[in-house]
Amino acid sequence: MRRAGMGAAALAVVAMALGAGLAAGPARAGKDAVGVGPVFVPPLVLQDQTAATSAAAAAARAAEEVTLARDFCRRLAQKEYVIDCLAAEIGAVADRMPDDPTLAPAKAALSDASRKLGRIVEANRSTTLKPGVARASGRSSPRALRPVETARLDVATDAAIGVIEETGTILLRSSETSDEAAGFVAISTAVTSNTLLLRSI
Amino acid sequence: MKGRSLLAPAAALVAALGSAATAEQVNYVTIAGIRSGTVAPGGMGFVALSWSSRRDLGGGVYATDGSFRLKTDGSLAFGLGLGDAETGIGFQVTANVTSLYGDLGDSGYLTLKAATRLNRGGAVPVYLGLTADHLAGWGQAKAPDESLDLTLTAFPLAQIGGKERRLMLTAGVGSKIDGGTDPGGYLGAGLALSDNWAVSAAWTGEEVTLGTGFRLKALPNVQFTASVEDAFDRRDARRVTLQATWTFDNLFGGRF
Repeated sequence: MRRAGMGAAALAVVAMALGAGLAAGPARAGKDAVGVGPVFVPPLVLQDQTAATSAAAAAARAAEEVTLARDFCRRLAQKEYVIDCLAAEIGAVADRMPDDPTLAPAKAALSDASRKLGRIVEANRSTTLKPGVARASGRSSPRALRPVETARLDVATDAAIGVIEETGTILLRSSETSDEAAGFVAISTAVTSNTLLLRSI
Repeated sequence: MKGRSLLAPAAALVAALGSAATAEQVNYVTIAGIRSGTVAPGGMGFVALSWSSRRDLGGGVYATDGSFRLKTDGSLAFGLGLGDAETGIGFQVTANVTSLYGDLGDSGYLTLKAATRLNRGGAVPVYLGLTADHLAGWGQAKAPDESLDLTLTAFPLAQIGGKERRLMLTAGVGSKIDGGTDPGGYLGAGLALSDNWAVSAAWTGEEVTLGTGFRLKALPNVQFTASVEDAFDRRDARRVTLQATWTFDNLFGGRF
């Protein structure tokens, strides 16, 4: 909020500087705006994460992304949004994994975890808090996050921990028959580390 | 002494831009002067203040005579992102106020834009955007002047100067590009120099726009661009354009 305030102040200063020279001028509004407006650039993480060309690199990248997702969601001040943050972030990691048959079990496990976490949020959705896009350290959530009812946070968190633990187990089992065993174990470890985050809510 | 006094602000600016140039990857990129195939993320709002050293007189003609105040003008844009271009379709609605002169807001129009990522999961993100501009105009911008643009934008990474740098490449066609009145195409490329600084070049058939964009570490929600449009003065329309954009992404509640 402080940074947003500074941004507003910076714009206000520019506006005042321009306004001092322009506002008193004759009425001669132009037909076109200056320029074509701002350009929005998606976070680098999207392309960086998809840059992996081999299954091993993609698996390692997915594990790293899950860890980054945990760190991002941990920064949310309002804990009611954390479970949906994990749902959105883990789902985004799965979406960005390449469609490599070797990685299919891990991709499916992450997608399934995202869906289950989303269902937990929906079943315990807050009627007072509004959804919103989270932003921390210059990064935004992949979609608007839905809050859990504060009074039901414990129930929802317990269910989310169950989903995370189950997903970690599925990934470990998959590693036993996968050519990318090390990658699957790394993803499992990263996923399971989210239980610490959830228990801290 | 005069030289030192001129260099001091430049040194301060470089310091403010941060030390990200030492990072393995440098990723702040933008293109000034042309549209992109991207939209603001869902839930993000923005206010952009722009200023041009030469006022648009319409039809691709720019003011050349008069005092500083008579030659220059600016504009304001208020916008909102909706939807999600990453997984579906993202939308952007922008209200443009076309002049800072006279009664602020007495002239303007709306811009609607839709965009989607074409290659979800692909190594190089590619976005396709469709822009409908000059809609529902009022004041001086009231006359029917709608236009359509189709824009393709990609964000590859390239190893340049020992660092993995983000590029932004855009190609587009529009119904009112050439001189602002006729159909035409445009191309542009941007290069990340650091995590907070980028340069770009764009071509719109007649004009070349050279630009730079940057953000300050202390103001992560504010982006600045400065560009020279018609840089080679081919259309006698060389002008400097400055833009500051403030973004805020908690429009729909949730205090993060």
